[in-house]
Amino acid sequence: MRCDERNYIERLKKKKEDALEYIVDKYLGLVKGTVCKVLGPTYQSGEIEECINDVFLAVWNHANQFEGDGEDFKKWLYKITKYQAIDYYRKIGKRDEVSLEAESLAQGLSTEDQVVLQENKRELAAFIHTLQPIDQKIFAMKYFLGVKSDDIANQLGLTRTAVDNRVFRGKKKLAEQATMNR
Amino acid sequence: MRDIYRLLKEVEVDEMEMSEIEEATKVTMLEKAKVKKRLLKSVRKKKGCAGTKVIAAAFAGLLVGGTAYLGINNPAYAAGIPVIGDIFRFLDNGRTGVYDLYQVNSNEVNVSKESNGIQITVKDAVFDGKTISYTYEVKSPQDLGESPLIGVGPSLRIQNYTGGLAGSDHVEKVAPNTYVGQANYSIAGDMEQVECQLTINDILKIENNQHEKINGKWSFAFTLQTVESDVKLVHKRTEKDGYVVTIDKIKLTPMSFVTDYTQQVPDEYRERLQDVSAHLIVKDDLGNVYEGEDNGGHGDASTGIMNWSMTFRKLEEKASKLTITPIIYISENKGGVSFDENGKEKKETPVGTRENKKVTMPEITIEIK
Repeated sequence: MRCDERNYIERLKKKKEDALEYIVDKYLGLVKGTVCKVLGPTYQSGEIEECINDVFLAVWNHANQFEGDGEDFKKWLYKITKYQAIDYYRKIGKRDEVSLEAESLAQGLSTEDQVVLQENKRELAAFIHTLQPIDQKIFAMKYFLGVKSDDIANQLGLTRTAVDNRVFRGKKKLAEQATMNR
Repeated sequence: MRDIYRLLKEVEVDEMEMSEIEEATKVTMLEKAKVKKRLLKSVRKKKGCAGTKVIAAAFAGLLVGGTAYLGINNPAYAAGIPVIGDIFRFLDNGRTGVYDLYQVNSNEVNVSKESNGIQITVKDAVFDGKTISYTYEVKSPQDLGESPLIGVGPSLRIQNYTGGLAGSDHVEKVAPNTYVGQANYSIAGDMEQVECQLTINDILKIENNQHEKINGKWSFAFTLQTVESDVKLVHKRTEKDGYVVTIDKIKLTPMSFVTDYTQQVPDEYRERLQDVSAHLIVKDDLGNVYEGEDNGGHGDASTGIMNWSMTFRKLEEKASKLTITPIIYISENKGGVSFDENGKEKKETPVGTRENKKVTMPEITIEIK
Protein backbone atom coordinates (compact mmCIF):
# COMPACT_ATOMS: atom_id res chain seq x y z
CA MET A 1 0.00 0.00 0.00
CA ARG A 2 1.30 3.44 -0.83
CA CYS A 3 1.42 6.33 1.49
CA ASP A 4 -0.72 9.32 0.52
CA GLU A 5 -2.69 12.26 1.87
CA ARG A 6 -5.40 10.02 3.30
CA ASN A 7 -3.38 7.42 5.11
CA TYR A 8 -0.05 8.96 6.13
CA ILE A 9 -1.07 9.67 9.73
CA GLU A 10 -2.27 6.11 10.21
CA ARG A 11 0.88 4.74 8.62
CA LEU A 12 3.02 7.01 10.77
CA LYS A 13 1.36 5.59 13.87
CA LYS A 14 2.11 2.10 12.60
CA LYS A 15 5.76 3.11 12.19
CA LYS A 16 5.83 2.70 8.44
CA GLU A 17 8.95 4.34 7.09
CA ASP A 18 7.24 5.54 3.92
CA ALA A 19 5.02 7.76 6.07
CA LEU A 20 8.12 9.38 7.54
CA GLU A 21 9.39 10.04 4.03
CA TYR A 22 6.00 11.41 3.09
CA ILE A 23 5.96 13.99 5.89
CA VAL A 24 9.51 15.06 5.01
CA ASP A 25 8.37 15.64 1.42
CA LYS A 26 5.28 17.49 2.54
CA TYR A 27 6.49 19.52 5.50
CA LEU A 28 10.27 19.95 5.30
CA GLY A 29 9.78 23.57 4.23
CA LEU A 30 7.71 24.39 7.29
CA VAL A 31 10.08 22.59 9.65
CA LYS A 32 13.25 24.03 8.13
CA GLY A 33 11.82 27.56 8.03
CA THR A 34 10.72 27.40 11.65
CA VAL A 35 14.04 26.00 12.88
CA CYS A 36 16.02 28.58 10.90
CA LYS A 37 13.84 31.37 12.25
CA VAL A 38 14.60 30.43 15.85
CA LEU A 39 18.19 29.29 15.57
CA GLY A 40 19.04 32.02 13.12
CA PRO A 41 21.26 32.05 10.07
CA THR A 42 24.40 32.66 12.10
CA TYR A 43 24.46 29.20 13.58
CA GLN A 44 26.30 26.26 12.17
CA SER A 45 24.24 24.44 9.61
CA GLY A 46 25.02 21.25 11.52
CA GLU A 47 22.90 22.33 14.46
CA ILE A 48 19.98 23.28 12.26
CA GLU A 49 20.15 19.91 10.53
CA GLU A 50 20.40 18.14 13.85
CA CYS A 51 17.33 19.96 15.13
CA ILE A 52 15.31 19.18 11.98
CA ASN A 53 16.20 15.53 12.41
CA ASP A 54 15.07 15.62 16.04
CA VAL A 55 11.73 17.17 15.08
CA PHE A 56 10.88 14.37 12.69
CA LEU A 57 12.13 11.78 15.16
CA ALA A 58 9.89 13.27 17.86
CA VAL A 59 6.91 13.04 15.53
CA TRP A 60 7.85 9.47 14.66
CA ASN A 61 8.18 8.51 18.32
CA HIS A 62 5.04 10.30 19.53
CA ALA A 63 2.70 9.87 16.58
CA ASN A 64 0.49 7.67 18.73
CA GLN A 65 -0.43 10.64 20.88
CA PHE A 66 -1.82 12.51 17.93
CA GLU A 67 -5.52 12.55 17.12
CA GLY A 68 -6.99 14.61 14.31
CA ASP A 69 -6.82 15.36 10.61
CA GLY A 70 -4.11 16.65 8.29
CA GLU A 71 -4.58 20.30 9.20
CA ASP A 72 -4.32 19.48 12.92
CA PHE A 73 -1.26 17.39 12.18
CA LYS A 74 0.43 20.29 10.42
CA LYS A 75 -0.19 22.55 13.41
CA TRP A 76 1.02 19.88 15.81
CA LEU A 77 4.19 19.41 13.77
CA TYR A 78 4.72 23.18 13.71
CA LYS A 79 4.40 23.37 17.51
CA ILE A 80 6.78 20.46 18.00
CA THR A 81 9.26 22.17 15.67
CA LYS A 82 9.06 25.41 17.58
CA TYR A 83 9.43 23.61 20.88
CA GLN A 84 12.46 21.62 19.68
CA ALA A 85 14.10 24.69 18.14
CA ILE A 86 13.64 26.75 21.30
CA ASP A 87 14.95 23.86 23.35
CA TYR A 88 18.02 23.75 21.10
CA TYR A 89 18.43 27.48 21.37
CA ARG A 90 18.43 27.28 25.16
CA LYS A 91 20.90 24.41 25.16
CA ILE A 92 23.29 26.21 22.88
CA GLY A 93 23.21 29.24 25.16
CA LYS A 94 24.06 32.72 24.10
CA ARG A 95 26.49 33.13 21.24
CA ASP A 96 28.43 36.13 20.12
CA GLU A 97 25.95 36.70 17.40
CA VAL A 98 22.31 35.80 17.49
CA SER A 99 19.50 36.61 15.15
CA LEU A 100 17.01 39.28 16.14
CA GLU A 101 14.38 36.62 16.61
CA ALA A 102 16.54 34.65 19.02
CA GLU A 103 17.60 37.82 20.80
CA SER A 104 14.06 38.92 21.48
CA LEU A 105 13.28 35.43 22.64
CA ALA A 106 16.08 35.52 25.17
CA GLN A 107 15.18 38.97 26.38
CA GLY A 108 11.55 38.02 26.81
CA LEU A 109 12.44 35.65 29.63
CA SER A 110 12.94 36.98 33.13
CA THR A 111 15.30 35.38 35.62
CA GLU A 112 12.30 33.81 37.25
CA ASP A 113 11.23 32.34 33.93
CA GLN A 114 14.68 30.88 33.44
CA VAL A 115 14.33 29.16 36.80
CA VAL A 116 11.00 27.71 35.74
CA LEU A 117 12.70 26.39 32.61
CA GLN A 118 15.43 24.74 34.54
CA GLU A 119 12.85 22.63 36.33
CA ASN A 120 12.71 19.20 34.88
CA LYS A 121 10.62 19.54 31.74
CA ARG A 122 8.64 16.44 32.47
CA GLU A 123 7.77 17.63 35.95
CA LEU A 124 6.79 20.96 34.55
CA ALA A 125 4.53 19.29 31.99
CA ALA A 126 2.98 17.14 34.72
CA PHE A 127 2.39 20.24 36.81
CA ILE A 128 0.80 22.10 33.91
CA HIS A 129 -1.70 19.28 33.59
CA THR A 130 -2.99 20.05 37.08
CA LEU A 131 -3.93 23.60 36.04
CA GLN A 132 -7.20 24.79 34.52
CA PRO A 133 -7.41 24.28 30.72
CA ILE A 134 -6.85 27.95 29.96
CA ASP A 135 -3.77 28.09 32.20
CA GLN A 136 -2.45 24.91 30.61
CA LYS A 137 -2.49 26.66 27.26
CA ILE A 138 -0.85 29.80 28.62
CA PHE A 139 1.96 27.86 30.31
CA ALA A 140 2.63 25.62 27.33
CA MET A 141 2.69 28.57 24.94
CA LYS A 142 4.92 30.61 27.19
CA TYR A 143 7.42 28.00 28.27
CA PHE A 144 7.48 25.45 25.49
CA LEU A 145 6.80 27.62 22.46
CA GLY A 146 8.35 30.90 23.63
CA VAL A 147 5.26 32.94 22.75
CA LYS A 148 5.24 36.43 24.28
CA SER A 149 2.49 37.41 26.75
CA ASP A 150 0.98 39.91 24.31
CA ASP A 151 0.64 37.30 21.60
CA ILE A 152 -0.79 34.77 24.02
CA ALA A 153 -3.37 37.37 25.07
CA ASN A 154 -4.27 38.04 21.43
CA GLN A 155 -4.66 34.41 20.55
CA LEU A 156 -6.69 33.47 23.58
CA GLY A 157 -8.82 36.63 23.57
CA LEU A 158 -7.61 37.79 26.99
CA THR A 159 -6.01 40.99 28.16
CA ARG A 160 -2.26 41.11 28.73
CA THR A 161 -2.93 41.68 32.44
CA ALA A 162 -5.12 38.59 32.62
CA VAL A 163 -2.36 36.50 31.05
CA ASP A 164 0.27 37.91 33.41
CA ASN A 165 -1.94 37.32 36.43
CA ARG A 166 -2.55 33.74 35.45
CA VAL A 167 1.17 33.17 34.88
CA PHE A 168 1.92 34.75 38.25
CA ARG A 169 -0.62 32.59 40.09
CA GLY A 170 0.53 29.50 38.23
CA LYS A 171 4.15 30.10 39.13
CA LYS A 172 3.17 30.65 42.77
CA LYS A 173 1.31 27.36 42.77
CA LEU A 174 4.32 25.66 41.20
CA ALA A 175 6.62 27.12 43.86
CA GLU A 176 4.32 25.86 46.62
CA GLN A 177 4.17 22.44 45.08
CA ALA A 178 7.94 22.32 44.71
CA THR A 179 8.39 23.25 48.40
CA MET A 180 5.88 20.60 49.45
CA ASN A 181 7.68 17.92 47.49
CA ARG A 182 11.01 18.70 49.08
CA MET B 1 8.29 13.47 27.56
CA ARG B 2 4.88 12.13 26.61
CA ASP B 3 2.96 14.90 28.31
CA ILE B 4 4.58 17.74 26.45
CA TYR B 5 3.42 16.39 23.10
CA ARG B 6 -0.09 15.97 24.43
CA LEU B 7 -0.04 19.51 25.78
CA LEU B 8 1.27 20.92 22.54
CA LYS B 9 -1.66 19.40 20.72
CA GLU B 10 -4.03 21.52 22.78
CA VAL B 11 -2.37 24.91 22.51
CA GLU B 12 -3.15 27.63 19.99
CA VAL B 13 -0.81 28.44 17.17
CA ASP B 14 -0.36 31.52 15.01
CA GLU B 15 -1.59 30.13 11.71
CA MET B 16 -0.63 33.23 9.79
CA GLU B 17 2.97 32.94 10.94
CA MET B 18 2.94 29.25 10.11
CA SER B 19 1.75 29.86 6.54
CA GLU B 20 4.23 32.69 6.03
CA ILE B 21 7.13 30.49 7.08
CA GLU B 22 5.97 27.64 4.88
CA GLU B 23 5.61 29.87 1.84
CA ALA B 24 8.92 31.64 2.36
CA THR B 25 11.06 28.50 2.75
CA LYS B 26 12.41 26.77 -0.30
CA VAL B 27 13.53 23.17 -0.08
CA THR B 28 15.40 21.27 -2.78
CA MET B 29 15.08 17.60 -3.68
CA LEU B 30 18.61 17.08 -2.44
CA GLU B 31 17.78 18.52 0.97
CA LYS B 32 14.78 16.25 1.25
CA ALA B 33 16.87 13.28 0.25
CA LYS B 34 19.46 14.13 2.86
CA VAL B 35 16.94 14.56 5.65
CA LYS B 36 15.26 11.28 4.75
CA LYS B 37 18.52 9.42 4.62
CA ARG B 38 19.60 10.71 7.99
CA LEU B 39 16.21 10.03 9.55
CA LEU B 40 16.04 6.48 8.31
CA LYS B 41 19.50 5.96 9.73
CA SER B 42 18.38 7.26 13.15
CA VAL B 43 15.17 5.25 13.10
CA ARG B 44 16.92 2.05 12.16
CA LYS B 45 19.72 2.59 14.61
CA LYS B 46 17.17 2.67 17.41
CA LYS B 47 15.66 -0.60 16.30
CA GLY B 48 18.99 -2.43 16.36
CA CYS B 49 20.72 -3.31 19.58
CA ALA B 50 23.67 -5.56 18.82
CA GLY B 51 27.02 -3.88 18.67
CA THR B 52 29.19 -6.32 16.82
CA LYS B 53 31.01 -5.41 13.67
CA VAL B 54 29.12 -8.00 11.67
CA ILE B 55 25.83 -6.38 12.57
CA ALA B 56 27.27 -2.95 11.89
CA ALA B 57 28.26 -4.05 8.42
CA ALA B 58 24.83 -5.48 7.77
CA PHE B 59 23.36 -2.20 8.98
CA ALA B 60 25.47 -0.20 6.57
CA GLY B 61 24.06 -2.35 3.80
CA LEU B 62 20.56 -1.72 5.01
CA LEU B 63 21.12 1.99 4.99
CA VAL B 64 22.23 1.97 1.41
CA GLY B 65 19.29 -0.29 0.65
CA GLY B 66 17.09 2.32 2.23
CA THR B 67 18.23 4.91 -0.23
CA ALA B 68 17.31 2.66 -3.11
CA TYR B 69 14.00 1.97 -1.45
CA LEU B 70 13.25 5.68 -1.47
CA GLY B 71 13.91 5.77 -5.15
CA ILE B 72 11.49 2.98 -5.92
CA ASN B 73 8.65 4.15 -3.77
CA ASN B 74 8.55 7.78 -4.63
CA PRO B 75 8.62 8.47 -8.36
CA ALA B 76 9.36 12.16 -7.87
CA TYR B 77 12.40 11.27 -5.83
CA ALA B 78 13.52 8.58 -8.27
CA ALA B 79 13.40 11.14 -11.06
CA GLY B 80 15.45 13.55 -8.99
CA ILE B 81 18.18 11.15 -7.96
CA PRO B 82 20.20 10.66 -11.13
CA VAL B 83 20.82 14.40 -11.24
CA ILE B 84 22.34 14.79 -7.81
CA GLY B 85 23.96 18.17 -8.25
CA ASP B 86 26.36 18.15 -5.37
CA ILE B 87 27.68 14.66 -4.79
CA PHE B 88 30.29 15.91 -2.31
CA ARG B 89 27.57 17.23 -0.05
CA PHE B 90 25.16 14.42 -0.68
CA LEU B 91 27.62 11.73 0.38
CA ASP B 92 28.74 13.65 3.44
CA ASN B 93 25.11 13.58 4.51
CA GLY B 94 25.45 16.55 6.83
CA ARG B 95 27.74 14.67 9.18
CA THR B 96 30.89 16.75 8.99
CA GLY B 97 30.10 19.62 6.66
CA VAL B 98 33.66 19.29 5.31
CA TYR B 99 32.41 19.06 1.72
CA ASP B 100 29.72 21.75 1.81
CA LEU B 101 31.67 24.15 -0.40
CA TYR B 102 33.57 21.67 -2.56
CA GLN B 103 31.15 21.70 -5.45
CA VAL B 104 31.31 25.48 -5.93
CA ASN B 105 35.09 25.46 -5.90
CA SER B 106 35.57 22.40 -8.05
CA ASN B 107 36.33 22.02 -11.73
CA GLU B 108 33.72 20.34 -13.83
CA VAL B 109 35.21 17.27 -15.50
CA ASN B 110 31.98 15.67 -16.67
CA VAL B 111 33.57 13.00 -18.84
CA SER B 112 31.77 9.71 -19.39
CA LYS B 113 33.35 6.44 -20.43
CA GLU B 114 31.48 3.30 -21.24
CA SER B 115 32.87 -0.21 -21.13
CA ASN B 116 31.16 -3.55 -20.83
CA GLY B 117 27.82 -1.71 -20.86
CA ILE B 118 28.67 0.20 -17.68
CA GLN B 119 28.97 3.96 -17.86
CA ILE B 120 31.20 5.83 -15.44
CA THR B 121 31.15 9.63 -15.41
CA VAL B 122 33.70 11.66 -13.50
CA LYS B 123 31.69 14.71 -12.48
CA ASP B 124 33.73 17.24 -10.51
CA ALA B 125 37.26 17.39 -9.20
CA VAL B 126 39.16 19.71 -6.93
CA PHE B 127 42.69 19.84 -5.52
CA ASP B 128 43.49 21.77 -2.37
CA GLY B 129 47.24 21.33 -2.70
CA LYS B 130 47.20 18.17 -0.62
CA THR B 131 44.13 16.18 -1.55
CA ILE B 132 42.57 15.43 -4.90
CA SER B 133 38.82 14.92 -4.47
CA TYR B 134 36.58 13.85 -7.29
CA THR B 135 33.03 12.66 -7.65
CA TYR B 136 31.66 10.13 -10.09
CA GLU B 137 28.50 8.43 -11.14
CA VAL B 138 28.06 4.84 -12.27
CA LYS B 139 25.15 3.65 -14.38
CA SER B 140 24.95 -0.01 -15.08
CA PRO B 141 22.53 -2.23 -16.99
CA GLN B 142 22.80 -4.75 -14.17
CA ASP B 143 22.63 -4.40 -10.42
CA LEU B 144 26.08 -4.05 -8.87
CA GLY B 145 25.00 -4.84 -5.33
CA GLU B 146 24.63 -2.39 -2.51
CA SER B 147 28.20 -1.13 -2.32
CA PRO B 148 30.43 -2.17 -5.17
CA LEU B 149 34.13 -1.44 -5.25
CA ILE B 150 34.83 0.79 -8.24
CA GLY B 151 38.38 -0.09 -9.18
CA VAL B 152 40.42 -2.62 -7.26
CA GLY B 153 43.90 -1.60 -6.24
CA PRO B 154 45.50 1.73 -7.14
CA SER B 155 43.55 3.43 -9.91
CA LEU B 156 44.86 7.01 -9.71
CA ARG B 157 48.28 8.04 -10.89
CA ILE B 158 49.80 11.51 -10.84
CA GLN B 159 52.38 12.41 -13.44
CA ASN B 160 55.81 13.32 -12.11
CA TYR B 161 54.89 12.31 -8.61
CA THR B 162 56.66 9.38 -7.08
CA GLY B 163 55.48 9.42 -3.48
CA GLY B 164 52.68 7.43 -1.95
CA LEU B 165 48.98 8.20 -2.13
CA ALA B 166 46.60 7.79 0.77
CA GLY B 167 43.09 7.35 -0.47
CA SER B 168 39.50 6.72 0.38
CA ASP B 169 36.53 5.96 -1.80
CA HIS B 170 32.88 6.05 -0.86
CA VAL B 171 30.13 4.88 -3.15
CA GLU B 172 26.39 4.65 -2.61
CA LYS B 173 23.48 3.28 -4.52
CA VAL B 174 21.01 6.10 -5.18
CA ALA B 175 18.52 4.43 -7.52
CA PRO B 176 18.27 1.02 -9.14
CA ASN B 177 21.53 0.39 -11.03
CA THR B 178 22.74 3.93 -10.32
CA TYR B 179 25.54 4.81 -7.94
CA VAL B 180 27.37 7.97 -6.93
CA GLY B 181 30.78 8.07 -5.37
CA GLN B 182 33.51 10.30 -4.11
CA ALA B 183 37.19 9.55 -3.83
CA ASN B 184 39.94 11.43 -2.04
CA TYR B 185 43.64 10.91 -2.66
CA SER B 186 46.23 12.76 -0.64
CA ILE B 187 49.82 13.25 -1.65
CA ALA B 188 52.83 13.53 0.60
CA GLY B 189 54.08 17.13 0.61
CA ASP B 190 52.50 19.82 -1.55
CA MET B 191 52.08 20.40 -5.28
CA GLU B 192 50.85 23.37 -7.29
CA GLN B 193 49.26 21.33 -10.02
CA VAL B 194 48.46 17.68 -10.55
CA GLU B 195 47.99 15.82 -13.79
CA CYS B 196 45.77 12.92 -12.87
CA GLN B 197 45.23 9.69 -14.73
CA LEU B 198 42.38 7.68 -13.42
CA THR B 199 42.17 4.17 -14.78
CA ILE B 200 39.52 1.78 -13.55
CA ASN B 201 39.96 -1.75 -14.82
CA ASP B 202 37.42 -3.60 -12.79
CA ILE B 203 34.37 -3.31 -10.60
CA LEU B 204 33.92 -5.67 -7.72
CA LYS B 205 30.37 -6.58 -6.87
CA ILE B 206 30.24 -7.80 -3.29
CA GLU B 207 27.17 -9.57 -2.06
CA ASN B 208 26.69 -12.09 0.73
CA ASN B 209 30.45 -12.40 0.98
CA GLN B 210 30.61 -13.41 -2.67
CA HIS B 211 32.83 -11.39 -4.95
CA GLU B 212 32.10 -10.98 -8.63
CA LYS B 213 34.54 -9.09 -10.79
CA ILE B 214 33.36 -7.17 -13.84
CA ASN B 215 36.20 -6.20 -16.15
CA GLY B 216 36.34 -3.16 -18.35
CA LYS B 217 38.42 -0.10 -19.02
CA TRP B 218 37.40 3.33 -17.97
CA SER B 219 40.20 5.92 -18.31
CA PHE B 220 40.12 9.57 -17.48
CA ALA B 221 42.72 12.31 -17.49
CA PHE B 222 42.35 15.69 -15.86
CA THR B 223 44.67 18.41 -14.68
CA LEU B 224 43.91 20.32 -11.53
CA GLN B 225 45.45 23.52 -10.27
CA THR B 226 45.53 23.92 -6.54
CA VAL B 227 42.84 26.28 -5.26
CA GLU B 228 43.98 29.61 -3.88
CA SER B 229 45.14 29.24 -0.33
CA ASP B 230 46.67 31.02 2.57
CA VAL B 231 49.26 29.09 4.53
CA LYS B 232 49.98 29.78 8.21
CA LEU B 233 53.08 28.17 9.59
CA VAL B 234 52.45 27.15 13.17
CA HIS B 235 55.13 24.83 14.61
CA LYS B 236 53.51 24.40 18.02
CA ARG B 237 53.84 21.22 20.00
CA THR B 238 52.12 19.41 22.81
CA GLU B 239 53.34 16.44 24.80
CA LYS B 240 51.96 13.73 27.02
CA ASP B 241 53.34 10.38 28.27
CA GLY B 242 56.29 10.85 25.92
CA TYR B 243 54.12 11.21 22.81
CA VAL B 244 54.57 14.47 20.94
CA VAL B 245 52.22 16.06 18.43
CA THR B 246 53.32 19.14 16.51
CA ILE B 247 50.95 21.26 14.48
CA ASP B 248 53.10 22.21 11.51
CA LYS B 249 50.88 24.40 9.39
CA ILE B 250 47.35 25.31 8.55
CA LYS B 251 46.28 25.98 5.01
CA LEU B 252 43.09 27.96 4.49
CA THR B 253 41.29 27.38 1.19
CA PRO B 254 37.97 28.79 -0.08
CA MET B 255 36.21 25.58 0.90
CA SER B 256 38.20 24.12 3.77
CA PHE B 257 41.24 24.26 5.96
CA VAL B 258 43.91 21.62 6.02
CA THR B 259 46.05 21.00 9.06
CA ASP B 260 49.41 19.28 8.71
CA TYR B 261 50.79 17.75 11.87
CA THR B 262 53.49 15.41 13.02
CA GLN B 263 53.33 12.70 15.61
CA GLN B 264 56.31 11.28 17.42
CA VAL B 265 56.20 8.00 19.30
CA PRO B 266 58.80 7.48 22.05
CA ASP B 267 61.51 4.90 21.31
CA GLU B 268 60.55 2.63 24.17
CA TYR B 269 57.05 2.07 22.82
CA ARG B 270 57.87 1.81 19.18
CA GLU B 271 58.87 -1.84 19.22
CA ARG B 272 55.62 -3.24 20.48
CA LEU B 273 53.02 -0.75 19.30
CA GLN B 274 51.53 -1.75 16.00
CA ASP B 275 49.43 1.24 15.23
CA VAL B 276 49.60 4.76 16.60
CA SER B 277 47.66 7.57 15.00
CA ALA B 278 46.82 11.06 16.16
CA HIS B 279 43.56 12.79 15.29
CA LEU B 280 42.64 16.39 15.93
CA ILE B 281 39.62 17.96 17.52
CA VAL B 282 39.36 21.59 16.49
CA LYS B 283 37.30 24.38 18.01
CA ASP B 284 37.31 28.09 17.28
CA ASP B 285 36.89 31.04 19.63
CA LEU B 286 33.24 31.46 18.58
CA GLY B 287 32.39 28.04 19.94
CA ASN B 288 32.22 26.20 16.60
CA VAL B 289 33.49 22.66 16.52
CA TYR B 290 35.01 21.37 13.28
CA GLU B 291 34.81 17.73 12.38
CA GLY B 292 37.62 16.61 10.17
CA GLU B 293 38.40 14.04 7.55
CA ASP B 294 41.63 12.11 7.75
CA ASN B 295 43.87 12.38 4.74
CA GLY B 296 46.15 9.57 5.81
CA GLY B 297 49.84 10.14 6.30
CA HIS B 298 53.38 9.02 5.69
CA GLY B 299 56.37 8.49 7.87
CA ASP B 300 59.27 6.34 8.77
CA ALA B 301 58.88 3.33 11.03
CA SER B 302 62.52 3.52 12.11
CA THR B 303 62.28 7.04 13.52
CA GLY B 304 58.72 6.78 14.85
CA ILE B 305 57.80 10.05 13.18
CA MET B 306 54.60 10.21 11.17
CA ASN B 307 53.24 13.14 9.19
CA TRP B 308 49.49 13.35 9.04
CA SER B 309 46.98 15.81 7.72
CA MET B 310 43.30 16.42 8.27
CA THR B 311 40.80 18.50 6.32
CA PHE B 312 38.04 20.49 7.98
CA ARG B 313 35.13 22.52 6.67
CA LYS B 314 35.72 26.18 5.87
CA LEU B 315 36.85 28.24 8.82
CA GLU B 316 34.23 30.68 10.07
CA GLU B 317 35.30 34.10 8.84
CA LYS B 318 35.05 35.81 12.21
CA ALA B 319 37.09 33.17 14.02
CA SER B 320 40.44 34.45 15.21
CA LYS B 321 41.74 31.58 17.31
CA LEU B 322 41.75 27.82 17.02
CA THR B 323 42.07 25.39 19.87
CA ILE B 324 43.38 22.02 18.77
CA THR B 325 43.26 18.94 20.96
CA PRO B 326 45.19 16.00 19.53
CA ILE B 327 44.01 12.54 20.52
CA ILE B 328 46.34 9.63 20.05
CA TYR B 329 44.84 6.23 19.36
CA ILE B 330 47.16 3.40 20.22
CA SER B 331 46.65 -0.17 19.20
CA GLU B 332 48.81 -3.15 19.88
CA ASN B 333 46.71 -5.13 17.47
CA LYS B 334 47.22 -5.42 13.77
CA GLY B 335 45.29 -7.12 11.02
CA GLY B 336 43.36 -6.42 7.85
CA VAL B 337 44.22 -6.69 4.20
CA SER B 338 46.65 -5.00 1.92
CA PHE B 339 46.82 -4.70 -1.86
CA ASP B 340 50.04 -5.07 -3.81
CA GLU B 341 50.70 -2.93 -6.86
CA ASN B 342 48.90 -5.36 -9.13
CA GLY B 343 45.81 -5.02 -7.01
CA LYS B 344 46.22 -8.46 -5.51
CA GLU B 345 44.72 -8.80 -2.08
CA LYS B 346 46.86 -10.09 0.76
CA LYS B 347 45.57 -10.83 4.25
CA GLU B 348 47.80 -9.58 7.03
CA THR B 349 48.29 -11.93 9.95
CA PRO B 350 46.44 -10.58 12.98
CA VAL B 351 48.74 -9.71 15.86
CA GLY B 352 47.88 -9.02 19.48
CA THR B 353 44.60 -9.03 21.29
CA ARG B 354 44.96 -6.18 23.74
CA GLU B 355 42.51 -3.39 24.08
CA ASN B 356 43.10 -0.15 22.24
CA LYS B 357 44.15 2.94 24.16
CA LYS B 358 43.39 6.62 23.75
CA VAL B 359 45.53 9.51 24.99
CA THR B 360 44.08 13.03 24.99
CA MET B 361 46.90 15.54 24.74
CA PRO B 362 46.95 19.05 26.21
CA GLU B 363 45.40 21.52 23.78
CA ILE B 364 47.25 23.94 21.53
CA THR B 365 45.91 27.42 20.84
CA ILE B 366 46.68 29.07 17.53
CA GLU B 367 46.08 32.68 16.53
CA ILE B 368 44.66 32.70 13.04
CA LYS B 369 44.48 36.46 12.54
